[in-house]
Amino acid sequence: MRRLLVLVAALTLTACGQAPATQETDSAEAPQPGFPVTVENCGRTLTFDRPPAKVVTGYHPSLETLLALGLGDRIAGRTNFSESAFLPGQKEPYDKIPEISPTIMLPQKEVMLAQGADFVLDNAMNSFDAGGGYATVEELDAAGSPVYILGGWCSPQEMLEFTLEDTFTDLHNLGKIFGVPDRAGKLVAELRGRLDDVRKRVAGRTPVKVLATDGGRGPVNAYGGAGITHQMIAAAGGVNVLADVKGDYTEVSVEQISAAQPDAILVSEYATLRGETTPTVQAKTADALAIARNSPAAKAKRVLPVPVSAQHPGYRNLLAITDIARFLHPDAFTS
Amino acid sequence: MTSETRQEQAPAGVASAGSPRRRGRRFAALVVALAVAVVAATWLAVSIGAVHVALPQAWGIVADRLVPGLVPRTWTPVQAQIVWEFRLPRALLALLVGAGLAVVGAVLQALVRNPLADPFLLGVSSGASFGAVLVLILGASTLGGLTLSGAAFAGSLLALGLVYTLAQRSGRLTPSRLVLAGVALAYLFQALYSFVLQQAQSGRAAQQVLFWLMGSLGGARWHMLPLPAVVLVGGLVYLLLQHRRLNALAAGEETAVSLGVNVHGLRITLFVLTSLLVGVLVATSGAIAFVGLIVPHAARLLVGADHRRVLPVTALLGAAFLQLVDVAARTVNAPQELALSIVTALFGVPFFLWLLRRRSVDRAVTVA
Repeated sequence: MRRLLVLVAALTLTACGQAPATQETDSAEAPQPGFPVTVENCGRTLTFDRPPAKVVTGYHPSLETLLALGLGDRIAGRTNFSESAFLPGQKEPYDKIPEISPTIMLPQKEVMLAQGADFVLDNAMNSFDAGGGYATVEELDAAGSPVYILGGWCSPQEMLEFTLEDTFTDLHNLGKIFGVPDRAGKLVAELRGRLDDVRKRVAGRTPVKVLATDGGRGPVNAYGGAGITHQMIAAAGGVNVLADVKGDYTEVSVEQISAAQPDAILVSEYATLRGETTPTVQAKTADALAIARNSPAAKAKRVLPVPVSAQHPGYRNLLAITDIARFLHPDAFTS
Repeated sequence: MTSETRQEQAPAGVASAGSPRRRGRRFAALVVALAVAVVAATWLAVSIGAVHVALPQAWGIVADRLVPGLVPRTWTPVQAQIVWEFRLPRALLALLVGAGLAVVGAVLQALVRNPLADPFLLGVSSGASFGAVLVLILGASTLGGLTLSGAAFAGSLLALGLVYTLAQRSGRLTPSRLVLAGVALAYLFQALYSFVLQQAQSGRAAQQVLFWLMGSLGGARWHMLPLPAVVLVGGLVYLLLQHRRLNALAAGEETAVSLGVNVHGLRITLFVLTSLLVGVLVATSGAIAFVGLIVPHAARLLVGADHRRVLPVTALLGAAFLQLVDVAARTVNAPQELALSIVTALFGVPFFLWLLRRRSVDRAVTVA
């Protein structure tokens, strides 16, 4: 039954998909200086004979990262993004790029392979699961569409090992792949500067106890002491009240949340279905405040919604650390 | 729903050897022992949890709520919240859900005369799961403000209506038709919620749904207790009053008819009653597997097949079992929680296998 539904969904998507892209004909171009280049990603070695010119991006942070590198003109197809606000100046280039999937996931296998992409960039493995009807990394590789996963989010275990440094590695790698190492170096320097600024401002201030949650009345969905959200809290001058909990995104007992006594709460913001924004942030906030009723955070109603796209590896993730630091230490940003 | 109040003199089912008085005394001792076990398990459930609250404090909080000022207040508001708002209602809900699922399992095994019957056989829990998944993925506002448990209950009622329509023919329900309609609709609802789940954009939302589908009492609050309590107590009293007819039904349709039982009316009543009970329970706790399958068998191994004894023993065993399972679910991996279906299987299966090997079970497992 499940298999049948997948088939029906795949057929529907294929039927209403775009016309198959025409194959590149000018593949016998002269090699560009500095190429071929190789990068390591998810235990695979990717080789590029020339900079990709027909890129497909997966979940939105991958598009944001390429736009930040000024590579919008290389992108031939993108997924939909309507779960939270765009980064400043990114709505316009987004609108110009053809949308190949109405969701945050890549299109189904046949549509995806028909794109004829020469590079695929995404944040995690969800859109490459054969069981979900998607083209796998191997299939795309074989079709000449090498896949790069940001932040080393290649498996659940590797997601726990993420550090902010991984994003800088990604930016350098993308600079190499697209033949724009200087641009990448400049962006890395700028972002490092922002992080250093945050670090200087929050240095010497008492870390704020932070609960990062995704709602739930019991058990509560929250972020434990490993992974990207934990790293963000630490970098922004906070301390994760669930640091002792193993795991990144996990289910935590209401007792633990009640006893955690956070000073501030971060709530994940995202849409669950077809970009329809559900009033989940408000509901999740209400749940968290009710359970952590006796905490300083609840008494002061100190809550910051965080777009879940910022809790994925990429450009926005590093920007969000400044936002969280401002929220946790407003006094540090007055000068 | 037909209600037949006429008293029939049916034989008291298959019973074990020994004089009636001795059997009665043994049964009374067993019930007392199980009741003690239920109280002990509940005491344990309130005493321990993800956050340590010392015993005098934990029980001081409970005592203070029942009789304000009885004991000096030596606890923090957080400890009071943990024990009174989270642990105690959760422990009581565990008793209700455990007892309810087990009793439903026992009744369904008799109703469809199949030892494999469990509360999820008739498609009702899949309907409830479908409702819950809709709320978790689409959000409450899309469904006219229905809460998670409200949508789950609505889903179970929908499934109940569909199964009933499919399974009955001119007012007659046959076990085979009931099982087939239930299983078919269970697949339909599974397909529907898998579809919604697959449309979900966020892996996080899917993870929340998965946890709910595997059963959890983590969301228990006081306001969730009255409905399951009323339905369970009412259902149990009714079933105990009907124990002779249940025995006759379990012995076979011919036997039941020859004893003057309105088989069709009874089947419909039992179907609606058990479906309602499952709907209410699944709406509060998600689909907890295995309790409804093994506990009735364990009860029959202890007291034979007479429903007058099977039903109370099943209820007590189910309550104690789920209480212990829930204690394990929230302490083994604390402060993270395990879904209950994982624990019911991990702890329940070895216990059940031991029970199966320990005694000659063929008689008990064949239900009648």
